[in-house]
Amino acid sequence: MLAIFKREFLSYFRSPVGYVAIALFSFLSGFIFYSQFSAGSVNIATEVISLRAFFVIIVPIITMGLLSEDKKRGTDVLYYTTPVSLFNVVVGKVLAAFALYVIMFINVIIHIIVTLACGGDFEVGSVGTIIVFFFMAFMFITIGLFASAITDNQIISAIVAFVIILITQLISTIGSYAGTAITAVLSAINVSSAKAAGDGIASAIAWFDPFVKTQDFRLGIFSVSALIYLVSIGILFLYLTFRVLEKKRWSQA
Amino acid sequence: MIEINNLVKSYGDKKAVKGISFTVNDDEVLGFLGPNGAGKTTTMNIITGYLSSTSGTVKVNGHDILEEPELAKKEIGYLPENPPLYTDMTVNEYLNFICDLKGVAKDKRKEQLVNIKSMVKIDDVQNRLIANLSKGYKQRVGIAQALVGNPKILILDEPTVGLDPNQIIEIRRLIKSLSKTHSIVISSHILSEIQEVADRVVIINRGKIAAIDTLNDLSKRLSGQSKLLLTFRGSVKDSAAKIRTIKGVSAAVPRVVDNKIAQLEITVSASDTTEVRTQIFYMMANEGWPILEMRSLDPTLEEVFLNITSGKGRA
Amino acid sequence: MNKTVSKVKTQKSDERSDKLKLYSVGSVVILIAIVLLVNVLFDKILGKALTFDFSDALANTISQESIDYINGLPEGTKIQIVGLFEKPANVAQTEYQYICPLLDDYVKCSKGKVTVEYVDPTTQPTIISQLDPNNSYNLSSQAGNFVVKYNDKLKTISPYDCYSYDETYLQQGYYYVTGNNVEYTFTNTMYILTNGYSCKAYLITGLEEDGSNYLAKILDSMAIEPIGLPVSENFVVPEDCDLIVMNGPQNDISEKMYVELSAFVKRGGKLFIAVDFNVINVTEKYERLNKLLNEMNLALDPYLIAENDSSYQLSGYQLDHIVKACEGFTNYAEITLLHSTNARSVRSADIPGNTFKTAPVLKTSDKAATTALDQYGNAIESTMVSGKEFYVAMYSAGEGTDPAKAFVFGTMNFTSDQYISSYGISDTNVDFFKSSIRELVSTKQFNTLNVPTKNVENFELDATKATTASSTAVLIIFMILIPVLLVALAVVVYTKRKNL
Repeated sequence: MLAIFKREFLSYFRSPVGYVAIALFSFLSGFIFYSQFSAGSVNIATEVISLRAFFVIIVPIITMGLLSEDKKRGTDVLYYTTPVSLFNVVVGKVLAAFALYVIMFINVIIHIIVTLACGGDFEVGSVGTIIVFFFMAFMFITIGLFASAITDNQIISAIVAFVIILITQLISTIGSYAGTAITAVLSAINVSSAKAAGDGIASAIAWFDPFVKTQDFRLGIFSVSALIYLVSIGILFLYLTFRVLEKKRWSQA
Repeated sequence: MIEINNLVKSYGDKKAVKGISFTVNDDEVLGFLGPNGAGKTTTMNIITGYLSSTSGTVKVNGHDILEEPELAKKEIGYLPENPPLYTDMTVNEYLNFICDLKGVAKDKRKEQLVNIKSMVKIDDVQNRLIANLSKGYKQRVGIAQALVGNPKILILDEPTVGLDPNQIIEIRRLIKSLSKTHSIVISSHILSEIQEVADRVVIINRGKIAAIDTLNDLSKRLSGQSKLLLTFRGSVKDSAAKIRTIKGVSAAVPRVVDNKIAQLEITVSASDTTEVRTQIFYMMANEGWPILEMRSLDPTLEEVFLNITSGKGRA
Repeated sequence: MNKTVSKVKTQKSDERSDKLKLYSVGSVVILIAIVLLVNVLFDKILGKALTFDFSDALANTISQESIDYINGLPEGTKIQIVGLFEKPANVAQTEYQYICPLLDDYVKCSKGKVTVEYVDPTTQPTIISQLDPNNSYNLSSQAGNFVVKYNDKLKTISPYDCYSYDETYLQQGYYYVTGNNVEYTFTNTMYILTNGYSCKAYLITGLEEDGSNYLAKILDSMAIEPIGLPVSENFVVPEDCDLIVMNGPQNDISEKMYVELSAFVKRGGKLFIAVDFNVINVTEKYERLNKLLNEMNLALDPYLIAENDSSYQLSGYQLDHIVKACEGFTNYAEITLLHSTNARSVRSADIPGNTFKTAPVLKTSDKAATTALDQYGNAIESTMVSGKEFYVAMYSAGEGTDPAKAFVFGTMNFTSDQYISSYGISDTNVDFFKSSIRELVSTKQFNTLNVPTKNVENFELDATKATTASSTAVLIIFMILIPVLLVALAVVVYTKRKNL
């Protein structure tokens, strides 16, 4: 596992990918930090929350090559014919991408230091948002890894990851559209509890929204169940990735 | 040693491998032959664990590849048709990574890598980026990768494909020296190569084994006969008739006729041609036709191969 | 023979692949089911138990005061809180950010006595007639606000009421939150609904005073009903008046007012008066007001107090200083050092034969000075008296049972919107004020609840360090330098390795 982790992590820095990702993150986070700083008050929690919107761009860039390149290059044979287990392969790659995120986050840490040096406040709500940030990063990385496992083309992998992550960011919106649609349909056929049904569907779909589940962290309220949700979705995608890799070996098609 | 038992691999309705069984013994070089699409690569992939068979078992030194994969894979070094190279790494970085993957202890690593690199003759490119290497060097790095961890068994899939004749000779020499300490399964459709290095040959055709035997026995079994080529000075017609009368000769066919040199292709029905040759010597001497050359014309592996795979010969 | 053998073999191999497919799909389905189950378990059932509030002032948890109050309510009490709006999915960026989670906490801690729901009156207009059958509260104009109902009594709370705002910004129309009074507002409202007001205080308006919003809130929270009493030609002190409050009048009272108030005092009325010395009332001598105060043996001087003892001065400023609570008033707040600014000198009038007993309430050091100022704000040398102890607040009480009482404060720091919005409702000055009010209407039942207010985070940067120069530096470093450096590094590393 360490071998895979080391190789993938260093490969980020042997090609432009790693540097570009960090530069992009630095630019975006710098922009957000600057707009707060120049207005005279800096709330790190707001910055970290805004950065979550950029997962949809940065994660696919980082993860698109993790497994698809191996398939293309033919190096995936090493994963099946050496004593390393597929589980270690998957976990090692996830850790490598996650480590890159940690490096990128150093930017924010510098922002925090600057803020404190200028007399600003860094309170528990910000710590909460940072914790959420990393758990979400884990979850999205596993999604990106899965997208990378199902194809040998980096571009397709990036697009699939992009679409899935975009959907997670829009779950609540999708839920409310579905709700109003159901309500409209049911009212059209004169079902009495149309609105309740529509609302029910909307809130059921919105229950899956990770951003809603973690919104209270910003206020300093740490909800363990929200973190468990993020971790479990991550585990789900890890397992799916693992299954996809296994399937190749057993493929009957 | 590897015991392969009744391997079947099907892709939907199509069967790529239809029940293959054979054994790879310790310290032998086994040639793996077959036309394209016969199932060579599939079989090798199954042996190494890259693919899983639909049914059948593979046991490497007693470890089943599906039940004890880590132990089985430790014994095998695999060079697939396209060597699994990370083009963004240097040779040294890559080999160190492979050491990590195969679990080579840190203290043994340096020595092992130095040995491997000198064996495979990649010392002068060890700090170069793999992407910048020529095909020949890339192939050698691939072999180096298979050697890491000192596995007892090497499985090489078409190791010389795309190389120039010099490089091919180099690789062949390498394989020969490796065969002293490892068992090697090498697949190719460069028959001369197999001829050079292999002790035994397995011929696969259409997913089934068409023949397993040592080279000699194989070609002999095919023809059931031995052939001799006689080059001499004299009358071809007369000599052909005369030779046909020797016991054990089943045919004598003129080959080349010019006013100076005659050639006859003599088919001998016995596997040991010594007696017949002695007879021919005396007879030719009697007639006053000097023998310029008499050599064995046993069917080449190529002929065996073509015969078998075209379905004409029965092995 | 061969055919059957091969058929058996095919069946076996297909079985194996079918088994694998089943295992593969099955295991994924089972995992999804487990994930869903675990999450529902944690969220719905264990959820609340595993939620930890680390926020500084426990901004989303109600205090023990509120919990004790709710527990003290009789079984079967139903307090209904209805938000007349659709609860937003993400409260974090709305004005309900601190309110909705706190209300959830009320529900959690009240064991059924308090219920909270959100009903949008535009989609469900029946809610209005449900809550207010006689339409006495005009709830249709209260969309977006909260209704608190107990039995037949209603009170409405708007999110605006739940916070303190910076006064300077407020004057320019910006709402800059400086204090979180959500729990304070809701619990005290509940108290008033369940217990009712204990007495009525009339706040005199129309004398060019600044606002008394916070003062009214504080009185309300003490279950004292604050009612405005404007100046008019027919000024009259209502019969049900328990307390008269004059909070920072810049002008003197009228003759009619004097007469009415004097009669009020004679029948045992209670007064609370706060006036300071500022640019508007710099030359005002408050003659009629003083006539009234003289009747209670008190006088309000037209002199500004300057504190010369540096240990009393706050940030080296003479007019902004500490005052000490005098004997008899030392337990009015947690500490005996209070904060005074721009104070007018208050003293006993020492009128012979006056039966009112006076006592100093707040005093300066013995190195203070007073002086009158001219209309340009310059000290009039001849009036300066220095090197003495002066009083910033006085108390006076008559004889007999339930006599007239009065507190006169010479500084606005205990009652002004400006001060309270900056320093918060939990400031010691406010505590002192509340104690003095309690002393005035001591015969009444109080809301003794002391619900703390919560702090709101202040994310402001130190303006001396976060200058334009430094923010430009931030811009350049983070948005230009670092990315460019990284890209350059990428190019360097890439070209170097390419040629390896």
